Amino acid sequence: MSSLITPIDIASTLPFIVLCLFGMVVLLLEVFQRQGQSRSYLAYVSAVGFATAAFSAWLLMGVEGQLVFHDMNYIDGFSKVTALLMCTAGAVTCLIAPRYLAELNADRGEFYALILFSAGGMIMMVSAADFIVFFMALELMSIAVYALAAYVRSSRVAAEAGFKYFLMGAFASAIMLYGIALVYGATGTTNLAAIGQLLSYGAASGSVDPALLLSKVSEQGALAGAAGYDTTTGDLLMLNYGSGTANMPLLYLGITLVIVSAVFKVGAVPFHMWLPDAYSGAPSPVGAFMASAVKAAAFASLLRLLALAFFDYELRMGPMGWVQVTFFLALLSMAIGNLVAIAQTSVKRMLAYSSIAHTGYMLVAITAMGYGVGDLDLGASVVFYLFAYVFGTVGAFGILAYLTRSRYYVERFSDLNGLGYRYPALGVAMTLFMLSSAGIPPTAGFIAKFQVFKAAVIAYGAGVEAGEPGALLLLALVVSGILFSVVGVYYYLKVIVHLYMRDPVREVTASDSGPARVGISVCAIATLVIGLFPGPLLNLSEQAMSQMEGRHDGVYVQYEDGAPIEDLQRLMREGSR
Amino acid sequence: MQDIPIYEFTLLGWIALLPLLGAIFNGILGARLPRALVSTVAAGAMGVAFILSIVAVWTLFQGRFEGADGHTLYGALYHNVFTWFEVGSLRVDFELLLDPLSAVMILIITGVGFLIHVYSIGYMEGDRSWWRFFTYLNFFVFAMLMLVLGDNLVVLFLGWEGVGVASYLLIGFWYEDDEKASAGKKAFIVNRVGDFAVLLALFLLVIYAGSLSVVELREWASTLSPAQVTALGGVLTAICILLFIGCTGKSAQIPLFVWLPDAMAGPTPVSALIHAATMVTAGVYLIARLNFLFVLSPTAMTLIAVIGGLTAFFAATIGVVQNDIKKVLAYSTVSQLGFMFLAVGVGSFFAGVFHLMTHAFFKALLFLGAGSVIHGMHHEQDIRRMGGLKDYMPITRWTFLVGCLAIAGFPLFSGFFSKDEILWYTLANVHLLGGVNLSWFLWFLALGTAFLTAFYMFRLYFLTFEGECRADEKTRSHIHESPLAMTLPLVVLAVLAGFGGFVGIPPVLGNALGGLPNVMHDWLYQVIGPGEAFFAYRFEGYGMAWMSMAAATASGIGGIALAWLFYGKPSDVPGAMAEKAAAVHRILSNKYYVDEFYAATVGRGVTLLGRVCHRLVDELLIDTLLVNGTARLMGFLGSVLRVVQNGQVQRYVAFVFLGIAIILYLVLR
Repeated sequence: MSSLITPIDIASTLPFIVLCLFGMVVLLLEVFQRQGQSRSYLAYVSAVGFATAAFSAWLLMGVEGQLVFHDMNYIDGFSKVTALLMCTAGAVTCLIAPRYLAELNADRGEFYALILFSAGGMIMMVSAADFIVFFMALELMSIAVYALAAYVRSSRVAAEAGFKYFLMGAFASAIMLYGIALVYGATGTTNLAAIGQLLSYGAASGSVDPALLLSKVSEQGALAGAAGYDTTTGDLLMLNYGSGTANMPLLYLGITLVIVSAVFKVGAVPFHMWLPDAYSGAPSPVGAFMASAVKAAAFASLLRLLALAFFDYELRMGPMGWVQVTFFLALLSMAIGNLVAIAQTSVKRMLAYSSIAHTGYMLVAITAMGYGVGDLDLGASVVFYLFAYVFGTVGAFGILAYLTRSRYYVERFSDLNGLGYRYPALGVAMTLFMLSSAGIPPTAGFIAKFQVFKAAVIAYGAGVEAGEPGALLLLALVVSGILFSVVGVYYYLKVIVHLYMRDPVREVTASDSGPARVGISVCAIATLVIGLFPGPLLNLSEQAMSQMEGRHDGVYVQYEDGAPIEDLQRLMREGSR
Repeated sequence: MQDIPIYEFTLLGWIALLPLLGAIFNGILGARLPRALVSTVAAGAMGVAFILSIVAVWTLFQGRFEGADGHTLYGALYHNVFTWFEVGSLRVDFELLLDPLSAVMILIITGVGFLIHVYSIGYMEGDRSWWRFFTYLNFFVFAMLMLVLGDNLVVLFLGWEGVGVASYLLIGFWYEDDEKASAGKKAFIVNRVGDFAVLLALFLLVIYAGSLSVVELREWASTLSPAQVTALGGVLTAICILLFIGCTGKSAQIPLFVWLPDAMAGPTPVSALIHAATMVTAGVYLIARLNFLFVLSPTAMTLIAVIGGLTAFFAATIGVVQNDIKKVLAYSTVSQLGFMFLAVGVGSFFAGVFHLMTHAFFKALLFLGAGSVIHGMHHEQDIRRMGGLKDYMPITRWTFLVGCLAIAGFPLFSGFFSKDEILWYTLANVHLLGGVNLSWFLWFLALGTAFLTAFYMFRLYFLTFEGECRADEKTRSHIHESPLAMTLPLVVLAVLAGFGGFVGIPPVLGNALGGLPNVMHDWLYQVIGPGEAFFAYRFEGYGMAWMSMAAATASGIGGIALAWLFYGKPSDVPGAMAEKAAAVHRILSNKYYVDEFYAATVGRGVTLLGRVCHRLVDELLIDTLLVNGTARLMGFLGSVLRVVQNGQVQRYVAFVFLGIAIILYLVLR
């Protein structure tokens, strides 16, 4: 193994490097800033940083997907497309923040640096090829966000939110680490693709890389029966667990813990308790960032984990498979998220619960992706959904931030009364975000919901054809998803009703911040344009999934008298010659 | 059928984009910009679009070649702007397609549209919503271009709805006036009925043909074997009739024609562009575009012909007694549209499109002339208070006269050629409905309409321009000829309305004059030829054709002569007749009571349904069961969740553990 870092390593992590560099620049600028001076321009600096990072990700689109940094990182379509997503969310967050921070006497440069570092962590996380990198990046992202949540030090609510978020996050990290340890114990490797191949039950045609496998599997792995290498004959020994996995409860415990801690970050019921407190307690721009970028990163890395490491048929659909887990999580998230959101009087809390509901819809697609023969391409609907969701959510939080002044927070529904007439453009934008969140055409949210449910229906069709068990349950999940989204329309429309059909109860004056207006307009236009012309973005999200390196498909096991038609061992033997 | 080659041609995108850009520019900035700039941008966008259209059509013309059957073919130009969406096997491309048929349409739309934009600069002078007017007008043109250029029926439908919206906005342009605002609403609502039918037709097409691209549909229709056509007969008829219901809405035919006369509430240039020259002909265009589909359903075709013929006749009878200058023209538009549907219904798609074109010329001219009169008379529209205007407004008078001669079918004016074609094909082709051949019936209907048309148009002309001026002193002192921006378009349109017919010289005349070609028919052959081949002539030789032409000419001139007798000189015959046939006159003045009939049936029915829905669905189901029920459910859930979500981190962690435990139990049990 060479210890050199090649140019392609540097180039492929360019978005990450750019973000970190800009973060440091922002910190340095802050040092030379006199107290009391406005730091608003740092928002533009950070936005430029995000734009540069996004641009570098765009430039890398042409680069062929591959492993870099000693097989620790991927540069592939998936990481690049999701980097675009994160950069967009980060940039808009930076734009809506400055005036809000100034109003709350919290106009300091660290804010932007933290956002930049956190986004860097996200980009690293979704391109991770190894559990170690994945975990490091996760922490980089999370710790920055913990600090951000408690950023307004004078506010007790924010401090509480930040502290709770930190405690729960630390707890989730512990679970994640424990899960990783168990998986490592069972397989002897922390490399995601290697884990996926080792745990594959049948033929992994085309996606097997014996060299990778052998280089990644440690002594312990061999001892644990994961893989061995006969030095005299050059044959691979005991490569896949086959039906052996069924006898490994600790492996399943590990997988479950990893998945649980991942869905913890996306806020699926019953791991959602921290979320309403954190989203609504944190400053609105931070709430926007958490609800959009953090959630998007968490979902994207969940896709990556599932697609690379845990996509074997037995792991998904077996008696202990994760599809049943995501199934229930999806159902619960849609139900609790939508129903509890109805009862909220605070718009921020409503948005928090609605984001739980959105998690549920996306989990429907993930369930569909894992169901039956398993079709990773269905994950594209999640990527698309994330785009639509990010614009709608950041925009809505952004409007709340835009309206908040030093004298008062704008959080309750009644604060919005009559604002649609007072600020027509703002009213239209908020209406768009709400319609998009509710999934009503011609907005992005409609296409997104359609894609997600379409994915589930496709999986249902394929499942019926292949005679998989429980196909009807999947269809029931779709139907209940649609019903719950109808419930959701109630509280989204409530916002519009307050905007246009209620008399103001108190004077609300917008902060009139230029950058915030730019950020909100970007979101509103994107919401509408994606809704009208979804084609390009659909292609992009499909590209993200199809160009995900190391993805573990082709593992469509077909049983013939109970035995896999092809086995990995033979394939690998051929491959090693 | 021979394959039609298509070539990529990027300029097409710009033709449609320019008016849109104009609309966006004026819509966003127009209120703050000087008036001259707003109108220059709007008219300029149209002018450039017109030039680009000429370039595009010229390119299409350059690509001509001789087809296998000896006819000249032109192929088509296309430009795929982007793929709009893909759902399952249905793929919708935002693709623009220019073939000879859409070429005729875009030339009319951009050309006449440009003239009307120029005219509006004069007509709308002083209106305070100047920028809004030009925004809407440009948007309308964009939508109309989508309608005619869209290869996919979804894009076409987008344009179809777009022109509906533009029409609504422009009819109710002076929305402070309640009557005008409600005229806009009426147009929109009546059109919804038709649009719904079009949507249903599109769904059926997706199910049975699997595509909505016109090119692919054409292929699909041409590969159907006779047995398949028989098997699909009911579906095809349903599709065609549903599409036609949409056309009756958009193109104001029986039974959905009631909105068009009211639409005259809009500014006159709008009436000229939207409610005469372009939008209302969309139905005719749709049928000509999908002629390969319609010919497969003889029932639907005959129905179209009958509805067209009846609309033409009845609208003409109403037109005879109208006294509002724009209302006369509105009914005449309904009537002429009826002619076009008669033409496509009897299988002569060429005659339909040809009449569409000549009608666009002379009706735009007549409307603009009427607008000029209204402008000159300070918004007086009642022809009983006009008269003698020829001395005050010579240009308007002469151009208007050309328009009247054209619409009356006076020999060698454009309307003569197109109307003659329609009459001839009506007689020559066989149209069976329930086993009865309706050829002669429809022919007499059309002949009667031609007579009535000539009569009421010259009644209008004589009452407006000839004789003594009946306006009061004050108005009379202000009457003036319109500015150049208005008269120039009149002159250009008058030339077109006068000579435009020579591109479609019927074979009977062409033959007699030594083999003059029917340019228009040859041009359109590629699109409509195969469809027209479904119909065969009943007559040998040119004898009957001469007869038909003579009859048409005679009825036109007869109508003019009668109008001259009644109104060309002071006479008390009309008044006496109105008294004698008071009942008839009352029925006609009240437009056969169609509006009242709809109000009593549809209007009241919908209100009743609304009330039932309000009681049952709204109050019982939604208010009582859902809302209050949900509230109660939420109260219960809230009390449960309060315990759970109490803000204590310890409890949150406990619940996470519980969650993990449950999942592990599920997974590892």
